[in-house]
Amino acid sequence: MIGGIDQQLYQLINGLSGRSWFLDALAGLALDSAIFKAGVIGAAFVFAWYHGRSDAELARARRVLMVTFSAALIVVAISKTLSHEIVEPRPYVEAQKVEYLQDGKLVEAPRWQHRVPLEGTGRNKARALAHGTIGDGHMGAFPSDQAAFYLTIAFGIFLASRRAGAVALAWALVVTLSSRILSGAHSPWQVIAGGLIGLAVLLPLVWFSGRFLRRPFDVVVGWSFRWPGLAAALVFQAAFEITETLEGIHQVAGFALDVVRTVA
Amino acid sequence: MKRLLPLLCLLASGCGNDREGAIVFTDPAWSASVVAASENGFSAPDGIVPTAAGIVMADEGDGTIRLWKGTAKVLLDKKSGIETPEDIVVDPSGTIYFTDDDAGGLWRLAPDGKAQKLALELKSTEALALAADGTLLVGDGKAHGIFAVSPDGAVTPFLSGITKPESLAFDDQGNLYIADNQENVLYLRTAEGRLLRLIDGRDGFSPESIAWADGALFVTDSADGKLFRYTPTKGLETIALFSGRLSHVSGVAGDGKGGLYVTVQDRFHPGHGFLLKLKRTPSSRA
Repeated sequence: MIGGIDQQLYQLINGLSGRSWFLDALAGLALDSAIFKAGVIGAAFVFAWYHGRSDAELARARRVLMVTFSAALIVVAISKTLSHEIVEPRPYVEAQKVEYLQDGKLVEAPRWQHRVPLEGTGRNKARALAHGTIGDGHMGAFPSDQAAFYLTIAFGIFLASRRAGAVALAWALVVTLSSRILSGAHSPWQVIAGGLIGLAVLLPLVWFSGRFLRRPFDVVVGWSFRWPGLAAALVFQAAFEITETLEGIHQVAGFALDVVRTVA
Repeated sequence: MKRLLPLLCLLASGCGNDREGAIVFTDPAWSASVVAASENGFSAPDGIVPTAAGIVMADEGDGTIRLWKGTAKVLLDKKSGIETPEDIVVDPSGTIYFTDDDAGGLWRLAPDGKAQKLALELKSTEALALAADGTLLVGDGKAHGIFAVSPDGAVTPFLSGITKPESLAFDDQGNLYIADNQENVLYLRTAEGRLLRLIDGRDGFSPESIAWADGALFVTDSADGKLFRYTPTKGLETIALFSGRLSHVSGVAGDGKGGLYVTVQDRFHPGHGFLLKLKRTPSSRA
């Protein structure tokens, strides 16, 4: 049922692809350029950090944003683990001949209709696949970790500041995530599932932190008022990592893991 | 985590969690079927040789040599001293030879069931090929070379400087292909003795097992989950990409009818595996 609706929705959105160089190039930019993909979401995060009518409002917003960033880390870990385990390729892969192992048998799946973009990463990936090259993670696209990450951040910003959150949510949906569907990187359901996982982690964490972790967060928020320069530097780092989809943190963590493995 | 999957996937009636693995065919003329799985009496096979009596398997998962034809028959097990059998050949008399990267040596299993370990000085044997003159070529991952072993066990160096000779195959002209899955190189040693690095430093290429069949070299890549076809005229072409439980594609052998047998070691269930058959529709690629 969901699969059928998902395919129809996918064809509706991806059907816009391969018709206009400008639209495809714009979608490619949203895939490849960190500043275009998520610069607005990072900026909204910074805006929400500094925007508040009173110190109490500001303190609440900062607590929510800190929880949001932590939740986003958890959400990415969950969605990456799930996508590694669940066999569901990206839609542009499902346009090829695919046989799935189901109940001990290989069953050929109906091919998805997919329009190849005229420009950008979506076109390059489709061409590479035709030559037998497929990127890491392209066989496990459920749920979308980008959707999980950006929707968690955007929802979190929305909880901290309605105005900044509305902008972040709109950008995440219209630019960041629609471009992924347009280019064949994800189906709508893969994106929605990512968002649902984000909400399922974020909302309880925000509630829990407001109810049981008020004091430690108040201490940290107090520091951010006392040392605004240091706080600004850290918020810049957070916004930078949001824009880069945690790539810097991922690389540093990978290096640390390599060091531990080498020493051990 | 895996036990939570069904729960999490309700998020998810459409998440496709009944799919345990997939094969994407970049050449749609090919198709695959599951011939057998571990439930049918084997573990996680690596090298295979189709014979008139059935498919002889070097079953790496539980250290066994098996003959499979609908049901599996154990020909040799760990009691004989073998540990992780890797590559396997059968000579015209029906004698089975196989390598073992943990136990080392070249193992001979005669048709009467008598087993013998030859070439004791080879400590981590992997690749194996039978030359037309009856010489056995054995790759040793610790000695980083290939050795010629006579049927009575005499060892002489054949080729040095191959970091991890994982698999060997002769073509119809007597050229020898060598797969090194540590340096990720496919070598060709011509019948005249020239050594060429045919494919070297290519992203997404780590040759695991190779087999010459129907005028082409077929190459499995368990690190990247791929099956390739190589011909001197067309170069390296990807046939299929394997994922999920099927991603560790291991051994490969021609079925003598234009198709292939491929073994897969289950990525999620150690000690389990699959025997797949791949065939190509006749009207497809020449």
